[in-house]
Amino acid sequence: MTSSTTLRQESVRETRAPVEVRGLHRAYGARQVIRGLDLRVQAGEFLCLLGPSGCGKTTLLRTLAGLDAADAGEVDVPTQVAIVFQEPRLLPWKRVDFNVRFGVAGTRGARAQALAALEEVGLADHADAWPGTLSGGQAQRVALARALVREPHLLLLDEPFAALDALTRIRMQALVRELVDRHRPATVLVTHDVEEAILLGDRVLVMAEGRIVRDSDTTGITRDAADAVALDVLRRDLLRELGVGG
Amino acid sequence: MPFLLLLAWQLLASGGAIDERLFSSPAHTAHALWMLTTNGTLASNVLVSLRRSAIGLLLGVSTAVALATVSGLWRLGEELVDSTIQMVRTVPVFALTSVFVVWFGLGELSKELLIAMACFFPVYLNVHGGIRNVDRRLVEMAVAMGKGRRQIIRHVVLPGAMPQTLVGLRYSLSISVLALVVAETLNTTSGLGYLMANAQQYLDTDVIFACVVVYCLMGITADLVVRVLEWRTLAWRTGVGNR
Ligand SMILES: Nc1ncnc2c1ncn2[C@@H]1O[C@H](COP(=O)(O)OP(=O)(O)OP(=O)(O)O)[C@@H](O)[C@H]1O
Ligand SMILES: [Mg+2]
Repeated sequence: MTSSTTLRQESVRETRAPVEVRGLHRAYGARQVIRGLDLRVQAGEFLCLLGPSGCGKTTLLRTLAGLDAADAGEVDVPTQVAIVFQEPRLLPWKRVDFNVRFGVAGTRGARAQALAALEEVGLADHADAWPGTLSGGQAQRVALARALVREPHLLLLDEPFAALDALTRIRMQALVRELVDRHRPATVLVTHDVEEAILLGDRVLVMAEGRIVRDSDTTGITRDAADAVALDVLRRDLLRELGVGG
Repeated sequence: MPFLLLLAWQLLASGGAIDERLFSSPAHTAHALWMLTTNGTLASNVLVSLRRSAIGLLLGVSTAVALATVSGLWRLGEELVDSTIQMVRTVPVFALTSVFVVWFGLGELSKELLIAMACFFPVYLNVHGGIRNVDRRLVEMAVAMGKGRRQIIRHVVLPGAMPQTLVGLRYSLSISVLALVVAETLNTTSGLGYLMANAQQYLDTDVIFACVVVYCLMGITADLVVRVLEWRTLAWRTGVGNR
């Protein structure tokens, strides 16, 4: 299982451009938010970004998504990028099916694609519903489907589970992991949950004061169920890094 | 309750407690309505009035939507159009009645323009506000999806402004009836207002009241039209009409 995944990753790595950020600077007015940030994400890699509130995680993601320009530095991202925000941001006046189709270039003739994506997030039977009739978790799954139909090479997730209840959250985590394993985009997930960051991704980054201050590989811990000690150590380390506890 | 009031009115009138020459009575009003309907005067005059308000309404609403779209979407449009309209807005429309007569004569044009002007502002203000208040996060989402300006206007901005637009339309429909009444006090030779002015000369309160009832019915119909429109276009809000 592990080896086949690695093999696929290798072949993908050659065809897709990885994310490459060098010396990024971003400021809001006089306030420097990102100061000389460097970041590399390999194709198919799942990266989790932790950091105290207000340290610039959303700002970084917006820059990667092309919503804001960099003040200084280089940002290389694939052409196909998809972003899922903390809120679903569905068009309430369009049915679910159209909302998903809105992710692809031409909205015409994309219904089959949209239905397939909805099927993947388990909402095929809601294709004709209004977004207003969905629960929070369902709406966020539609947003995920809308990101998936874009067949992104880079998937950006900005605290997509933050507004969900604990149970829905666990289901969503599993779903995201499954979808990312299947489609293998480079993924950057912003989260406040240390546990989530360790278990969901391949790498955990900690951001503080506009820079990456820590970069830990977690594949060993995630894949090796036995390594409970390493998990514990890393968890405590990360929490300290974030200014919580010991 | 309204029926009880009607009944009380009728009883007071037939009991002689109120002067029927001044207040008419439900029965007499109904009779006058019946007479006017059967001899065809009502239909022909109502048609004339409907035509006036329809033309005025169409003119006012379409220019309002066009200008509000321009000023809501483009910065230059905002500077050119909106500031001007905000200034003109403070003028009470009906104070312009006599000016309109001087400018456009006593014919249909001055009446239609007066109605158009009265209907313009509620629609303009609401469409403009609706466009301005569209959820910016949705627009941002569309930008992140790589959507162009036209797609964003069509799928995000205009539908987002729809609820407010309908609110404006509702206002202007009821105002159109009001404007019609005012416009028809100008020298008229046909229309509901003419019927009323005529009746006034002969102190025929029955006909006056009958005309008031017809104006009311027009107002109610106008409101109904918008409700149906709301129900059809805002189905997403109530969740009805799932395919
Ligand atoms: N549009 C804006 N205008 C001015 N300042 C902003 C703007 N957006 C963000 N900021 C500031 O930039 C800093 C970083 O914001 P950002 O949203 O990137 O933080 P974050 O790490 O995502 O925080 P959180 O974990 O709370 O979401 C904050 O101090 C914030 O006040
Ligand atoms: Mg944030």
